[in-house]
Amino acid sequence: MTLASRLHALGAVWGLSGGVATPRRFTSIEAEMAAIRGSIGLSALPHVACLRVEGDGAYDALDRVCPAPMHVRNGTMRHTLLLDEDGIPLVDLYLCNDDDAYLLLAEGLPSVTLIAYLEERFAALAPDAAASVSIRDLGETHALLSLDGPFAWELLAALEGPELVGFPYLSFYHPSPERTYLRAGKTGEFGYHLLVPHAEAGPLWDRLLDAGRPFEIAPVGFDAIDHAMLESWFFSNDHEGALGLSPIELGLQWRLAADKDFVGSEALRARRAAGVTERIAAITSDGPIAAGDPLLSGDEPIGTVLRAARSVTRGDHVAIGLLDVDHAHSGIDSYTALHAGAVVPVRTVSAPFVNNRSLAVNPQRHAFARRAEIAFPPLRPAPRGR
Amino acid sequence: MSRAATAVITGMGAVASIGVGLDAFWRGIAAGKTGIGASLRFSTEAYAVRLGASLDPTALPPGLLDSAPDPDHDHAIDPCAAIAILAAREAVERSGITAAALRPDRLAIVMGTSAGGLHARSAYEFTDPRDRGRRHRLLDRSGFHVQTAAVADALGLDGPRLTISTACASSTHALAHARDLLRADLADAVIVGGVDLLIEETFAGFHAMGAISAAPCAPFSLPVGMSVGEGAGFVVLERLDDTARRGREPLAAVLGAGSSSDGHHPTAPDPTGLGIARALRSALDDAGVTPAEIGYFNAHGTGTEANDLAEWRALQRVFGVGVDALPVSSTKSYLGHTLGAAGILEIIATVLAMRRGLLPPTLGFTASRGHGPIDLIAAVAPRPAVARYALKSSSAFGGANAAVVLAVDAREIPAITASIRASDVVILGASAIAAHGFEGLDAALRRGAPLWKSIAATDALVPLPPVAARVPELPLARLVRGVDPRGMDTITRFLTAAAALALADAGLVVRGPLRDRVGLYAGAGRLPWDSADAFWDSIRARGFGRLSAPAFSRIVMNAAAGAAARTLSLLGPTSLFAGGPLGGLQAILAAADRLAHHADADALVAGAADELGRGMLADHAFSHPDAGREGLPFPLYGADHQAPVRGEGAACVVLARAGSPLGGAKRPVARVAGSGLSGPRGLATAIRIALQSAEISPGDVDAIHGSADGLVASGRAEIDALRAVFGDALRAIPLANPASVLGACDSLSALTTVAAIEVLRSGRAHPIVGATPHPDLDFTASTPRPVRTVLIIAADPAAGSAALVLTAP
Amino acid sequence: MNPALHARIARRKEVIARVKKILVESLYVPLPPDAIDLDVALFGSGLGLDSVDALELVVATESTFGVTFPEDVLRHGLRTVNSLVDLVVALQDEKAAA
Repeated sequence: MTLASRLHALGAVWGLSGGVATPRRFTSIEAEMAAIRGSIGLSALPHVACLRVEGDGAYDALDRVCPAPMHVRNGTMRHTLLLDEDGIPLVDLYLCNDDDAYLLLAEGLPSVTLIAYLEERFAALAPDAAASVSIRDLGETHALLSLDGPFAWELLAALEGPELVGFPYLSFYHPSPERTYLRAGKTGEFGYHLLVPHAEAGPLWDRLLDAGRPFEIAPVGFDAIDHAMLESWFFSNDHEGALGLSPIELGLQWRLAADKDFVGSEALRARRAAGVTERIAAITSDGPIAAGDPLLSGDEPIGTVLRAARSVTRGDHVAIGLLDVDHAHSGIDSYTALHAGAVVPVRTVSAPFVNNRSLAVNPQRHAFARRAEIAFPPLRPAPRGR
Repeated sequence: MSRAATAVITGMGAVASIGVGLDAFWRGIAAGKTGIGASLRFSTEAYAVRLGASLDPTALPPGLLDSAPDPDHDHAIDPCAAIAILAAREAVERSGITAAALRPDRLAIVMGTSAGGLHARSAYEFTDPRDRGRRHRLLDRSGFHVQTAAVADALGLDGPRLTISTACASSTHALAHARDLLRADLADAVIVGGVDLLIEETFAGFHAMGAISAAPCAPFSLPVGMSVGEGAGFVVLERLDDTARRGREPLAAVLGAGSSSDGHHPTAPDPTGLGIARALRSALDDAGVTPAEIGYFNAHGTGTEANDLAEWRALQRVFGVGVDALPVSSTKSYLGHTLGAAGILEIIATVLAMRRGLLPPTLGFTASRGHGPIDLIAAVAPRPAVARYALKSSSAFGGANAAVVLAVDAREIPAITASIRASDVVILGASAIAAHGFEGLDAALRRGAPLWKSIAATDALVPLPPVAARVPELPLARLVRGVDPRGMDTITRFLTAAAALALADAGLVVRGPLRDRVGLYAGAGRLPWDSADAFWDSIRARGFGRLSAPAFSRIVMNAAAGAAARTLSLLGPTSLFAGGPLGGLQAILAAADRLAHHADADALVAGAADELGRGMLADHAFSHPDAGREGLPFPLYGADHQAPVRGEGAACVVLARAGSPLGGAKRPVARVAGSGLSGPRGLATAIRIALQSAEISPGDVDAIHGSADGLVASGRAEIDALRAVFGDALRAIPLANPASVLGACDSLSALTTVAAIEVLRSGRAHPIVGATPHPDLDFTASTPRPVRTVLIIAADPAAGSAALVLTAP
Repeated sequence: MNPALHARIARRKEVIARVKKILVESLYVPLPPDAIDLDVALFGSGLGLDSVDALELVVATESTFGVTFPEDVLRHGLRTVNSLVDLVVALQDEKAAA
């Protein structure tokens, strides 16, 4: 039985992310969010393009194309982007240095499209290096599973040994030559991506579900992960990434090197020179709001809602607003949204929208079975300041 | 030359909070009483937690600890050196070695210290910058090697002197180097140990890091946290066959020593335990002992969550399922963390206990942390148990790890522990960064024009020198692939660039399993200026209680080496030679010896870096108000007073065993033919040893590279030693010294080595342009014969002497 | 913009500018102040500060603004530039009220 057949057997509803089909829901978003925020969610991520870029020219070729600074030590990874020539994000990227070959985990494009993007730009921007670079699509041989939740570490340690408990965020290792375990994830919780050969993926899925039962593990679809990303202020390619905004407006400048050229750097320089007028801000409201709603300060239009949802974890509504830079500040409670003709009071807040329980969990001391002993902060951050 | 007899401990001395003198020290261990308490020698009002393990002043000679470093008294000894002298003297007396039986120049000292000169340095920082004389004398005294020199002088040791400063692993590393000195036959006995004082600078630093426990530290138990301590410990290390000849029973043997770099973080240990495990495995391999044969593990065990967990992970990796039955304890529950003295004091405690059929416990255990040693010796008294071998581990800021394997039972002490036959060592590549930039050292030295330039006076308070030989802007990102420059201080930038360029010159790509097999030995003259400025600036601005934690983490001597190892993936053996201006050459010599006698690395990068900090410039302007003008040389090796110009830079070489299969390595550029080390009066001796070990006569030397800094005395020391060895033949041998072009600096002994390698590559000697002609010396490089053999020399009145013979491959 | 809102945002902007100065000058964040986004994570990813930097960030911010952070601030109060600014503003208000 393949991994896919297992997913179907569990009743997975499939949908697209970045143009690739992926399991989006198993039960309900509420149940799946409860697992991610309180115990462990298990997911399969076939929409993530996994590539291996290797050869003597790999560093130089990626250096010219990828916006990230290339100081990524062996066994560690950097969260970055790939941009188009206009400086608009195409994929959300983990760039991993695997003994001076590079592992790319990318969301936003199908792997074939991503490979074409890379080959084209390597050849144009780093022709000398490109000759000695090869790109392998690991999707042909491997599957990507993910464990996300405040106790994900405990399940993995039980299965794979205690070394893993101390593994730092954004690092990875190979438990065997063909497997790669990465400490990553975009839910704001302890997250582990498990990249394993196809033949092992199904049995591993079973083992995780089985060993995870005492941890109240649940299969989760990408809808829940995507929702957790919104709550935890992780950039989503499918949503705000699809609106033609640059990393400057999107608050993603930390993913770019300040001192080198890359695909899109010229366009970003031009944008900065022209003056940045808008940027995103985190918004909450008690009443419903939706993408496209205008945002106002008194009568003055100050922006638009880009994405909104009722937060499963908080209960109220959370949103990403695009505001003019003068108004895009946290802690303002006098703005409003116009939703379906009604005026809805909103408040700008400091992201993220939730206090992840993972922040209070110490793998050295805590355990799921004794979680009642842990002093968790309220999931919904208390507003601070006026 | 090589003598593979097992290194044994024949005498020990201890000065610690639980007792001064070995007997009192053992009584303290046996009684299970901690030395950690509330009485420190400075006010702890500003701190949230206030415990430490201080020496009991009533157990010491009166006033010994109170003495502030007195710059106005030439012979005043810093309290740091004073307690080291107590411990070292006890070790020597107990060993029964006497100056009558052993030649003083065959008695070496290797001292580990994390904060050795910090006491004097802090006094310098708190002295009004306008009091330039006092500042100068304090800065002079803040050299770590100056503390070692005080101990050596007090005990009449005329042999080699090494000062090892790998922060909290210093004295464990020191023990390994002492063993290498015996094996290389550079001494007949080595007085080896470590020392550190509990001063407010270090207490406040650990406090700022949130590391200090509110209760006396109880490693592997709750609550988490460390306690800072102080003390000194020394042992006498000799070859087993020598002690047999003297009719002495050894107390213990050092069967193996290992070392590694974490390559993870400036202060936090690699939480996976991989870094520590590398050091443990290398010590076990070196000893030829299996994990199953280890009967006791004396942990670094600081008590912090991060350290204790990483150490436990390492034990799980190395011992596998056997880890459940491994007795483990940490002596820091008695002594606090004595920093540079920690390794050796804990080794002394281990040896004392094991010789009595006991194992020392961890005091203060209250409750398990959930993850930690299964067989933790948690008790208030030592446990009766016989351990065949003990394994001791130390870890440090900068990611340096060290481990040794010990045995006390004579039946377990083999006559010979040579793990491999002495091998030839070659140099695969070299690079230098200095006023010339980062390429073309050979061209700049051949041209000979001085490279110092006018500097803009930026400090209104004190005068600066008119010129200095500064390193031009370094395009670090272009030079070092994948470097993360965030927060890198100047010395780290220099060392990282020099090491990376040396590896590139060697054609060596450090990748895959090779990462664990290439290490870094570095020399350093002083604390890193940039970070020291940030550290004391934060104290001046915010007080001790709120000093900068990142700056504290960067003022350990090995911070730059740790960062370079991290950037370049040099995860093999590491060490730091705080030998003042000798540090670079000491590092290169020690690296060659390590490779010749041990199998734990395939290649070592070795060299030194230093920088012209603001304080360095101000000090130079004070001591040499007449120093230099742009474009004008300062004549080296003259008889009249000359004002040297100050430079800065870094230089590294890549060493490997001859014929070893290194992926992508080019042909060697030079062969290490011989080397010698001796005391400050022994430069001629060091040269003779080097020539002898190279199996050549003085007439075979084609060129000499000196490292005198321009002062009359240092020039004369080189000339006298050379004349003693070479006689009249000296004037036919070209003498070079890059100070004539690059200025004088602490890295000079490494820079002159790299220059010598350039000379071997071209076969043509370097001149000293602008030198006043000297009847005994040839500055013109006019010899017609090709240079195939070069002698490199360095000497310092405190650090001792070193000589190295390199030949064309 | 109404004057009250304007004053509030102006005050916030001033705190932001000083926090960014600390990040660049004391913590060596390798970005120009304009490229330090307000909701960027301080630790781990984002600006990439580590646990030792966190200690200095707390002390430097306290010293700059003359405020004292609560004991457990590093556990969950300090995640982004914005949350640090929130905390400074709230503590300044408390101090003014006292």
